[in-house]
Amino acid sequence: MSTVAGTEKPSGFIMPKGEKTAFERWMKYLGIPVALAVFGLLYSVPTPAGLTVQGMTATGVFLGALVLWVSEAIPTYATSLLTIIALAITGAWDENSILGVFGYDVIWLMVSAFIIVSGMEKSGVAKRIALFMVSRFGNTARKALLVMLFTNFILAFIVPSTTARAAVLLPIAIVLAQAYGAVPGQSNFGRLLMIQELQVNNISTSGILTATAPQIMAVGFIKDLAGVQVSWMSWLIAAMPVAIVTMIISYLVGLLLYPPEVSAPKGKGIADMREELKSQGKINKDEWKALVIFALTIFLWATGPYHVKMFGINISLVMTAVIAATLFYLPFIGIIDWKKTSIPWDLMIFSCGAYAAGMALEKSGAASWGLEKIFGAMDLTKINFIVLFAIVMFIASFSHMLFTSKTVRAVILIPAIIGLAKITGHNPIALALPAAFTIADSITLPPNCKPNLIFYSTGQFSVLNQLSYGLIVLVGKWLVLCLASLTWFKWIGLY
Amino acid sequence: MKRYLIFLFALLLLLSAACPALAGSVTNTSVNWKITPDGDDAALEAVWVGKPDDQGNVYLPVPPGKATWEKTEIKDGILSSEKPSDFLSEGNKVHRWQVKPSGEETTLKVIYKLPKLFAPKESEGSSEGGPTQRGDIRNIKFSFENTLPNGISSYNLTVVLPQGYEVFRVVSPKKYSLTQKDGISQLSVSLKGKDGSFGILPGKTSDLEFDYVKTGKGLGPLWVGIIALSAIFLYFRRDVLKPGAGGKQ
Repeated sequence: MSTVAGTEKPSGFIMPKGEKTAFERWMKYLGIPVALAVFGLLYSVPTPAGLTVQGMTATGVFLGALVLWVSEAIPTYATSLLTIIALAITGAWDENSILGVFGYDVIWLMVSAFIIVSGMEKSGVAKRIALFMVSRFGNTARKALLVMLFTNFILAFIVPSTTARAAVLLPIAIVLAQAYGAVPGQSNFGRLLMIQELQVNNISTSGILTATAPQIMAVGFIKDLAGVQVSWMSWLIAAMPVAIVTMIISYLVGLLLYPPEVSAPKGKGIADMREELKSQGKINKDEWKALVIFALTIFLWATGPYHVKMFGINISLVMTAVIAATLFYLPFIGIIDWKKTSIPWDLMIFSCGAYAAGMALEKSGAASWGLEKIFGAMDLTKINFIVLFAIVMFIASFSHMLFTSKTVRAVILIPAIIGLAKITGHNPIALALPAAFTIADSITLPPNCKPNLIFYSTGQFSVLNQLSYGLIVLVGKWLVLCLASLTWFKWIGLY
Repeated sequence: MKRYLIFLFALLLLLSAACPALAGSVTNTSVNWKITPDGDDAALEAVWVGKPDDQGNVYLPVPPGKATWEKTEIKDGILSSEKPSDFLSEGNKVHRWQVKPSGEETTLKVIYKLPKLFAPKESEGSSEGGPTQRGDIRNIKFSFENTLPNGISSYNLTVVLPQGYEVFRVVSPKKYSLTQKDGISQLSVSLKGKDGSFGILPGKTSDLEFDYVKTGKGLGPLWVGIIALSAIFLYFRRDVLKPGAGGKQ
């Protein structure tokens, strides 16, 4: 695709601003009847043995909402409000719990993150960082994407939380999107930037044992139930190549699905950007303040496990964000007031409804019932190892669509897979460890995990964008895992 | 004061004499309870499997609520009396039967009546109207406390729901089994000790609380609503199909 800096050449994927394809229009038209029918069907059919009526109802509400989110038949925040109403009226989850989602740490984290973003933008430091990154490393859209992916990947070694990493990168991603003129919902560059950030956030996590707690829990299960101790280094050696190949797949698939409509920052050449950066002069007082607050935030997030030793108290991830947000408002220290704060409340409402639907699915037992049924439906004792491996990895990876909690997935999946390996006479580590590499595969839907919601809150991509892109990448990862089971895992002596 | 101490000492002696059977009682027992509906009431079938103690005594915790004893059956043995006698075990009332011969494994089946267990109850509401919830949900809470001085190796409770009803949600415990037999829903809780340990230790409780609802209630109006709403949206949103209509949200 030949492009001139700052201009775009329409491709099959790029539509005029705000225009929907015929397929999207039909989805929007049929979304409401289909969603109602899906809910009605699941509400009406006899409840399968082992599942409660509440579980069945929660599934109906979740799938109905999913149809509405994907089809965008009504605004996503309106779907979330409908979801909240449907959950309460049908009893799929109790009202207090549903309304309590607004007080969840993820919502507070998102609000705080947007206050930090506002502070960074107002101070001018966000623009300076974006100008520096773009003029120095990202003079093309593809390079800019790569720089962000690489930063995200490196952060995974430093900040031991997927959510904290997402919150750190959010302000930079937003200003970078602005620098490239990415209008939310209309720009392929914006879509790619945000979806790839959430994908790399999750995929790089799978390469580092300590990058998320459920992986450590999985290793604990493997030790207790299979008697094998997996070290940090052996996890890295086994999982990182798979993670790196998957990130490359993610990058290439993204470019194919959503080719950036710009090759360079919107309306500006690199020389102009450098000039603008130079014209900003020295870092001013407000920028220093914002930088110090941001640095303090990253420091607190990165040193989470050592807080008690350092300060005598533990400061949680969300409280760190609230502290940072508060600092931006304080006299002498802060630089913004409430009027200058931009929080996308529609996306907060969306997050609440989506999270509540996911939680209802989990709390009602429907998610674990579904997983048990899938495992139980197949006679896995009579098939050879590679087929068994492929089936188990597929289930392990795609089961994230039912759960909002990686911990719950680890608790259900890993012991079940170790048991399965023992029954089928295979080495438990050969199945359980690669399955543990899929725990962070939560990339297909916004409510799957907190980083997804954080990047979705930028409004740059739709649920359908994330779903289709995520499914393709996960199929790619699944193929890589299957290939690794025949090669890499054997070569390194995993089994 | 002296008299009081003598009285206490005498009482202690009396109680210790009355409880030798429990003190050296059986340890390897299994208790299976099954609740089946009988109109608004329910029948509780308690099956005890184990060896009676040296005196031929078998003890069972008294069922919760206003349970009344109905009958007792025995397999492999003779009951001195079908009706249980009340017995105090560490301050807790338990039911006792005498079985002959003692020391042999036997099975005791006791039927209790649980009045009004399945009777519809008024929905709980507050002056503000209470939270949003379905009005047709019925709740059952059943608590089994092991009031025996010894642990129970295996405990199983099955609740058979009335025909046409199904379990809406299980409040506790987290692990349960939901099955269907001839279209009738059954909810079971099982506690089994591992490697010789007890399923329920003395003094411990196993709670079962769940909600249940009538199957397929209100489906007619639901589908009428779905079809009507779908038709309305399909008719009045035809313009959505036109190119250029409705921008991105």
